[in-house]
Amino acid sequence: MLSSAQQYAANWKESFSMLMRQLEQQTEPHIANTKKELIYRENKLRLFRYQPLNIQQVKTPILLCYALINRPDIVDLQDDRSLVLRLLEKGHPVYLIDWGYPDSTDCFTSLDDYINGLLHRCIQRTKRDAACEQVDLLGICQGGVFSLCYAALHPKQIRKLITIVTPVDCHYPGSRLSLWPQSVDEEMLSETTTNIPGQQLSSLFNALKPFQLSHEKYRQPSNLVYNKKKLLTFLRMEKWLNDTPDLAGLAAREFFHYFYQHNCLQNNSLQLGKQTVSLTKIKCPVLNFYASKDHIVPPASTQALRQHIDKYLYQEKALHGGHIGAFTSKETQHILINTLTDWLNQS
Amino acid sequence: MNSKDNNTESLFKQLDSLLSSNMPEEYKTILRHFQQQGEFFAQFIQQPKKEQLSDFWNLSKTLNVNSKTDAFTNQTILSLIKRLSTALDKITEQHTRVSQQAVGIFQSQLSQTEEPSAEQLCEFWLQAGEKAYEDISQSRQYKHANQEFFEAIKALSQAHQETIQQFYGLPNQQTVEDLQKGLHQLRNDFASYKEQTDTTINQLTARLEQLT
Repeated sequence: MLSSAQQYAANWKESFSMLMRQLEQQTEPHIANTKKELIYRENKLRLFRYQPLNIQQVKTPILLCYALINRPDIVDLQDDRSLVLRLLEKGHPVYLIDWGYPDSTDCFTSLDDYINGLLHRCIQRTKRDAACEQVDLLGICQGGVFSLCYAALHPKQIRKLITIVTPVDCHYPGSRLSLWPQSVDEEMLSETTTNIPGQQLSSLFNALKPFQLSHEKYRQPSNLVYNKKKLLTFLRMEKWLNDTPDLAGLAAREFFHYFYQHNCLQNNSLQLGKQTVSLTKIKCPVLNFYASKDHIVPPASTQALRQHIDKYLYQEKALHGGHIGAFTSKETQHILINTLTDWLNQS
Repeated sequence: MNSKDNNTESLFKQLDSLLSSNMPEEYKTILRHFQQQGEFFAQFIQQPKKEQLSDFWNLSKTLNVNSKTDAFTNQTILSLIKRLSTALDKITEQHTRVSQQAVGIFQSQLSQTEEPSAEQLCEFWLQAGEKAYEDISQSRQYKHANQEFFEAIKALSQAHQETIQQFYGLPNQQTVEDLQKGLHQLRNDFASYKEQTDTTINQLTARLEQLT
């Protein structure tokens, strides 16, 4: 009779062999397949409008603002894990900002440029394209931070604001991500002008759960090879994870400095251009989603938003999952989309 | 292929053949990851109670920060290499703390379970590693070592870049930055101007439609 270790080794060999055969026959899976049209471009940025489904349309468009870290394709990973498709199915006109791939000529792009420049112009384009006075803005992670700042500085532009896994209090105890920027000397940070390579960022995020993400994830192929759909999802996630744009040097420095070193969003002391960003100036309804198992942005960091927004305007909802699973898993997407559309349809 | 016919040698022959084929590079990377972790966990499962156990939580290897830079001739760079070397020793010391603490946690879990299965061993391994890392990465010593490590890398890379620029007579950093700033400003001004123009055109078009 085989021991547990022998059984484990035999299983591994069999499933690794299967994995090789399956990958040998597998063409590269595509992501971001939902049809969309380019409506605006500026330097590396692209603004897209998704093709609506043949159903009655909601009036106010939703503009999706993803983080600068990794690509926004994750909101349309595959049909059954597509936040975009779920919104289109509910009749929402959906627009998406793709920040593009900054190169060395973009290293002086600041947070002010991103928020009061690029994001502002995308909102104006979306409004004109949809013939609306306001948009619903949906920001994810760092994109949520940008959306909060924008809504505080330009309250009349936004009808409703949705944030998903967005850090607000960056000094919450136990936040592993805040450990790194806090350990970098401020003077040294201010001397840096070059972009931050995407590969370095990937390594940083892997280092938040080093044993899980470097070893355990690739331990047992049998978790994938007996389920074709699961394997394809895994391959798509790997493709997305490895597509890592560099970060524009100045904006990255400012983000670490203002948010993670000085917690300026939580302290209402962030300066963008000549204005101070105070979250208390947000006067539209806000729906804040947080992920209960988020190791990158812990729930408490996100929930800190409730301290700043009028209680009659603020709602929050927990999603069971991690930072990305919160809006990509089939189970949480159902809760997310129903909560979101019910809330958007409230007058 | 029948799974019973598989042996390790033929498996890795098959892998070598795939790695030299025209399979997409991202799939090759995934296969390499699984192969490496297959070997890692096979070794781990074979010897959970033996000495050298702490090497299975070797954070320096996991985070790939275990190579010391080769020597340069420039004195400034030499001193920066020494600084990096010291910082590397300090961060390695912290990584060793992680692996030692992980061993303690792992052995405590082992002692509470009679004849754990291979899957349980792997589960204990992961819990021990992440718990030890969570504890130690929040300590003052770890944060300090981490800070010194990052600063040493940054200082060395800047000095190295400047040396190369001087050696090849390339434009210095300031010249490059001035050009980058100028281009950035030009792009912003153009985008703002275009936005204003399009808004005005839009307003005039709407007004004209109302009047006609």
